[in-house]
Amino acid sequence: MRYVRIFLLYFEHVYQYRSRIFVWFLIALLSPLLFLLYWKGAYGTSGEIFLGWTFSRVSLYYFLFIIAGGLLVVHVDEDAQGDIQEGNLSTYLVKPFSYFWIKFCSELPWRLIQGLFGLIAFLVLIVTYGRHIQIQISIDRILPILLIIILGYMVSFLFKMIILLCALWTTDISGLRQLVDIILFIFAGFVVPLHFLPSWLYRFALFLPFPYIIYVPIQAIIGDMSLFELMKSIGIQIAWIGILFMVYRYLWFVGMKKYSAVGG
Amino acid sequence: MKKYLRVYLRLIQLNFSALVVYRGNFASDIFASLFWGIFSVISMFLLTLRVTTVYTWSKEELMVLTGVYSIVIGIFHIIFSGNFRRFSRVVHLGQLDGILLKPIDSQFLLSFHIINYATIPRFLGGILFVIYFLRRIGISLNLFDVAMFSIFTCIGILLLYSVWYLLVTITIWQSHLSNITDFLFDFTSSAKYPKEMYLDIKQIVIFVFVPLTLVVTTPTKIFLHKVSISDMIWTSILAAVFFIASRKFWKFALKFYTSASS
Repeated sequence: MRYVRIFLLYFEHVYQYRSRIFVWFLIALLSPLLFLLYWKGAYGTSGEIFLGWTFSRVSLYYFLFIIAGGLLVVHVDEDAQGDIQEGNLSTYLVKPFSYFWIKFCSELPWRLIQGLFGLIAFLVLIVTYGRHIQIQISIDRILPILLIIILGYMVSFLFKMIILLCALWTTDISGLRQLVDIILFIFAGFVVPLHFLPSWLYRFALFLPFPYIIYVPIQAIIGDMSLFELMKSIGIQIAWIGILFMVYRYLWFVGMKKYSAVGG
Repeated sequence: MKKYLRVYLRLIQLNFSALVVYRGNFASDIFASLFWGIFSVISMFLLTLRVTTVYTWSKEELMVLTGVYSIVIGIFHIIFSGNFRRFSRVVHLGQLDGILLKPIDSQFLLSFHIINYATIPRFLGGILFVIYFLRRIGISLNLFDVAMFSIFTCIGILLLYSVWYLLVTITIWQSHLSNITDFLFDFTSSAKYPKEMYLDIKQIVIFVFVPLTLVVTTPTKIFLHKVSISDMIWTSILAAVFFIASRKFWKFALKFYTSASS
């Protein structure tokens, strides 16, 4: 219950930064639309269907990406500077709450509001450009799809928490963060739908946790996956959550012995 | 003019001393900037993997475009982008007072204070990349091409700088909009696609993108021997217009500056 209160407090806090969120939203909006524009040209020269995907399918992919980019890409690693480099972590440690769940409650409002912005943009785009786009989701799939989205969020959150903890050893993780961003761009499906990658790279990508953050949830919505595949994805996501959570716990315990507040 | 040159030389020295002091930070900055250079190459590679031509640009030509993007953005990051990161902080924390009091142009000091040496490897990498792909296409360059390329790269960077300055000036009114620089980084990356791509948008949004795409497309076309006079004229006119606008807008905005600290 107390975490719900913390969540609501952070929600109010985020609400103060509406114009900032709008700028973040523009960032999330820009690159999917540019990629889509690029593919429009590519489709122009190589026909209606490309590697088994029609253009309206690619459009739907990038339109959904606008929502997913805001909702599912967690940015807790940005707190490394304040929490660890400047020693704010100490103030969290003396509170009777778990650091993990405070971070969870402070991050979720940002993601929900940006997801909402994304959803609005998605609807506007579908109404203006996407009359030929069809989404069919049968009732029995709604629950698995919702679960895949929630689990995707958890994979994303745990992974970024691990990156955040790396600052306990290196203090400054700005270089690491940029590297992680690039890995996500490639393997979560930002640049191209993973389906368009060479098949060996595609198979390799599926061994990583990153496709399960964004690519798999979008695929689930587009309707490409059988019920069995949906269940399989859920299983893999849960496995990743388990692995990442153990890594996080391990780093937390080792890191706490090492942590010394700088200036705190 | 002489005074400004002297100040800038001093800044170059001071920035170099800072770099020598924070060596670890410098190394991680170099890696980060190289990562982004490599990323723009990889993403173009992925995008062209299964296609031959996009908007009349062949695969190799798109690669040259990516290389020129690294050169132009490399120079821009070396000279300017660190200053834009500082800009919103300066305004937000009320440090602008100190800058306005100095007997030197405030726009100059805000634009040239930080020099980011860490982006030099990316710039050099871009040059090698362009040379390699021009050879693969079979284009040989003469001195005139290189001279024209250098001139239009400078004009392009002036245009890019003016667009950035115009937009960050908004933080004088909305000082918590410091993430506008993050937006500008992303917005600028729209310049790594060919101009023709944007001409395909037949809505008003097109005017948002066209100035930026000229920044990289025009110098690239000079190397590919495909440049038209109108491209060159438009790039120059837009650079001049945006530069004057950024200057006027800055002077106007300063009237509304209310300090935060003093």
